[in-house]
Amino acid sequence: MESMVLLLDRLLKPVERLSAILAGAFVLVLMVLGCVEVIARSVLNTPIRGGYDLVEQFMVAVATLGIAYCQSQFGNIRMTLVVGRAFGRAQWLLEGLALGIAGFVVAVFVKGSNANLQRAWQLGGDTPDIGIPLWIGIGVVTFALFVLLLRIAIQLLEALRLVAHPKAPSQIFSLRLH
Amino acid sequence: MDPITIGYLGIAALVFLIVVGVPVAYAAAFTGICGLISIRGFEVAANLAGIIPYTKSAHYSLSVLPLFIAIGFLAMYAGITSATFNAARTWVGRAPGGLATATMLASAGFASVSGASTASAAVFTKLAMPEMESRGYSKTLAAGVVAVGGTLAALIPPSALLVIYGILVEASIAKLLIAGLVPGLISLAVYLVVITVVVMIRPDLAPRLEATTFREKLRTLPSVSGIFLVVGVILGGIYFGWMTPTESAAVATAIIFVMALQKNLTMSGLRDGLLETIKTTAMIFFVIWGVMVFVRFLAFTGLPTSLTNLVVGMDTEPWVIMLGIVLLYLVLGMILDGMGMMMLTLPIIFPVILGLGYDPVWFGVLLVKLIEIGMLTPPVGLNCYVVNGVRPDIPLSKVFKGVTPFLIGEVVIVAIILMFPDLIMYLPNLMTGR
Repeated sequence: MESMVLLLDRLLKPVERLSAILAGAFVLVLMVLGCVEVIARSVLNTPIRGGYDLVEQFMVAVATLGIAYCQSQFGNIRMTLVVGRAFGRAQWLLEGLALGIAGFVVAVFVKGSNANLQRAWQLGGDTPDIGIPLWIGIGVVTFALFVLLLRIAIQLLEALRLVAHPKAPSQIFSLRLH
Repeated sequence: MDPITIGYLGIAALVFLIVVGVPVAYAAAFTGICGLISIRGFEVAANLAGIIPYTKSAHYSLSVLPLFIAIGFLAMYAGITSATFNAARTWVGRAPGGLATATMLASAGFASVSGASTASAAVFTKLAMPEMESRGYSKTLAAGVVAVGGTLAALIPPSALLVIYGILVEASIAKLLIAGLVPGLISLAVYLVVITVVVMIRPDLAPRLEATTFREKLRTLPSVSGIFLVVGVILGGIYFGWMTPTESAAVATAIIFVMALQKNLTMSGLRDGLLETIKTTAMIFFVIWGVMVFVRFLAFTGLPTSLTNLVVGMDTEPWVIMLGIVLLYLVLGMILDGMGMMMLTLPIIFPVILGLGYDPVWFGVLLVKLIEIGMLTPPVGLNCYVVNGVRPDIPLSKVFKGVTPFLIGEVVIVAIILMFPDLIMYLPNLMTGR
């Protein structure tokens, strides 16, 4: 089981990292867009057409494409007063509980977001100023949530393996343990 | 079961999940989804929850967040931290506790280009502590100074916490950012007074440095010009209405980006900075989504309205209730992460604040100040843990001890915010109509 979990981890890592770097690149795009907007409005007196729409759609990529990377680095805030004092099997049971809950939440998000994507695809709908189709942004969200679901599934499998073998080393949880 | 009881059960379940270590974002979303399922069924719950990640991301006002976070990371590559510390040391190093004062001023300088408290504490632990120790400063005092200095980033603009607060309660982000300036500067002034008083009582804690000439002082100014430029762009742009908060953040990011490029920012440095920016951004957004699902659930139960009516209908002075809220946040701050605490409590506390007639902008400033204090108090004073994490040779107990005199100062600052709301609201009120 350990080798399967590690293989899945190795397969998913490049996807997460590339998505996160892409999201980072969009932060730089937001920076450029904001500067151009200020110059265009104040110097040339001609604001960028659809600037508002563009910022909103870029924000979808910035906010969502890094969520799986964040989870892979255990970047979510949590209270460690109890789990930090737990050892061995109890610790991995608590980790498994947290990941099981996370998995349920993200699965519901994926289902709801996918339903939203189907509606946007079938019924149309676009941004008010320059008519960017909404399904693109919703599709990005659904994709990002799906990658996150895969990441949580891998972490959950690893936690369950560690419940069975509490003293076994873990590459996946090494970030959390150190 | 009536919806309000379901609401109370939801809150109890949420507290339990957070205590056993479920991340705040997932705990809030899980409780919200389960609550919605119990009230409206699975399909409605899934559709209501599933739409939130898109609607709470495709949001113009939210774009200010990743830009402010990026400024903080790029500022480190731009050499701003060492430049501010060197300049502050040259200007005030001779004063009693001069290096501690310089560290505090440099933290304030870094705070004006960054909204991340922990990053600031980590940077100055590495940068300023070795210098203070080599000059014979007490480790306890030095550790306390860097931990406390970090909290300035949460209030002095650009403050990520104030932006998140503004988004959650739909208050003016521009006004919130401007409102953070005065209490941020008051906090700085109080911290400097605390350092001076402590060192005057115990001069052995901080030996004096040699004097520097005025020419030497002037020579340090060009290296910190970038900070003044960023502060000018962010505050001036927003205050005078020349730019939206997003635009001012974009221009400020561009300035820091160019400075970082001049300081030989490499591709790998840029990639790492962007990855850290995205990691923090994703973390914040997931908490926002989770809390928004929880808020939807609470709205269906009618609990916030019921609670507000109950509190407002009480035969008690509003200031007594406010004092109770302050105490509640001080206690919660001891055990919860600041951002999580703010997001989890606002859906219930904020309607009460509005019902009592308090200004949302003023309350945002007070709340962020209370969160800052929570970053310093045991057992979960995050900034103290950061100092201990960077310098494991300094025990956590010593860091908390170093912070203690500043907590007396914090009481004074909170009292000023509570007693003089007009002072806090002076600058934002001048913006009315802009």
